[in-house]
Amino acid sequence: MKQVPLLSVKGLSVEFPGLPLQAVRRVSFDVHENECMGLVGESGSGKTVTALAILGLLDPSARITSGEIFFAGEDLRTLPETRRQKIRGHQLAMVFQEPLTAFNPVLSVGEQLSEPLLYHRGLSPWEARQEVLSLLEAVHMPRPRQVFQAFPHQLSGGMRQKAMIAMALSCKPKLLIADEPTSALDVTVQAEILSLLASLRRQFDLSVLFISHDLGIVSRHCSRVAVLRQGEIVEQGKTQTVFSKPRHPYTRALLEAVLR
Amino acid sequence: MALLEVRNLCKSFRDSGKAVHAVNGVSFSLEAGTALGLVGESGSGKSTLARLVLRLLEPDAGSIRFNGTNLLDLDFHGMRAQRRWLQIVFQDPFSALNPRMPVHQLLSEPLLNFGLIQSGEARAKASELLALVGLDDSGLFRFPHEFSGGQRQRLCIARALSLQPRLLVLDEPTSGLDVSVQAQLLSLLQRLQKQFGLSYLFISHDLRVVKAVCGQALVLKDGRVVEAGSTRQLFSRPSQAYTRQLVEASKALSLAKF
Repeated sequence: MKQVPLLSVKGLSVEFPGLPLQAVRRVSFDVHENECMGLVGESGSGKTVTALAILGLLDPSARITSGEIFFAGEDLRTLPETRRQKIRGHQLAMVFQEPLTAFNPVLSVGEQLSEPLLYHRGLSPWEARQEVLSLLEAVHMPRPRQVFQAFPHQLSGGMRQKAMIAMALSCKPKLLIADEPTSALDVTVQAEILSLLASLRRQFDLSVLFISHDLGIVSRHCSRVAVLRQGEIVEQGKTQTVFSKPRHPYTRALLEAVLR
Repeated sequence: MALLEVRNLCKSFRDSGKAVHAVNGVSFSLEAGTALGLVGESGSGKSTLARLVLRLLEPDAGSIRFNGTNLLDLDFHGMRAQRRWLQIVFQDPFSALNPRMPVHQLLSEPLLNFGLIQSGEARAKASELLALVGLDDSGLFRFPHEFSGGQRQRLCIARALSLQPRLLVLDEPTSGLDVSVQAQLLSLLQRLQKQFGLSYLFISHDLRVVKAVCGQALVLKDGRVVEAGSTRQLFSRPSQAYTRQLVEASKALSLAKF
């Protein structure tokens, strides 16, 4: 029996004014519960636009020309903004590629991680602090108490990415959208963050939409994959099938580019 | 004789009163026409080492023999004459290109600067350089922001090669790029090396990238060389724990076998 997917994107098209081509064209895919689904493609293929459309964070000038985005049975596109914001805080979270620009540089890490807890979960500042410290421990942050006081620029790239993951997890989301979460990091730190994400996925019963241009990483972490090219999905299916018997020449080209 | 011979190079910086030994007694030699990799994590001293070799930073101690001359003995003018033969490509092609210069000017500036061409020849030379890195003439009058990251890095490579240097230092040239663009750039670098008999000092945190271009590599940690050897051997039989860690990490990112 087929279960209802947690996230279901159907025929999504997004266009930007002044650009002749749609950034995303009739894109459809599902993310099931406890699944890690990969969305792969090169820069400019529409991966990030798709993610932002799901979260309702597209630039105001962008226009969704068609499609539906069902999350746990509700169409996010037709929901009132207040309901949408609730879902975005509680059930949907995002980890961005560049943690330095995703953080506010003038607030301490602790203040920023506390924010969603105060706002969405109504905790007191003291409770929020305890919760943030335990989240920092959950992401294996070294010296969590010092990190709580620190400002984002004082952390290394890997520590910032851990802090962002902790923030994303703070409201116990069902779905995490990870947009190139390790692209800016050294290989050793990448490997560490990826294995952390894998264990958190089990620990928090998370589903993940994993966006990446690196098919090597996707081959090890995603059970299913969709390949985007110039805004269109050229191929999707089980990672094993798609990667061992790619049907589209573009998928083949991407696979050949992975370093051995 | 080696093209580049570095002996016991040291450089420390002060961080709130405390000395940090960024490069701590590093020695290596690079034969003409070969590519040597420098592998290590952020903070291992790779980029400092690259800058020391070009004297963009002054070392505290040690010697850098390039083509038989100790670069550290040279005065400003002597060093300037050598720079023609030593060029660098930086990691971030966005900040390495002047945003207000059109491409033909960017590419011909080094040649004009060294008085190797007349200004009338500049355009033709720039177009030749573009072709060399797989870009066409339509780019000549465009500005850096009109190019993608991979194309910009090609522009940086073209500019570095304009003087026909003997040694090219590449500091994480592909780190900010998509995997597919990275693969194209690496094969471009391989082709150029063969074509011109270039020598590369190639810096990366990813042993796989280094292996694609370099026969030999040094593994750097906390400013010291912890292991050196052929890239094949470092990858298949690392002898140091740190090298093993780097190899394991890159394996965890490689394509799974189905």
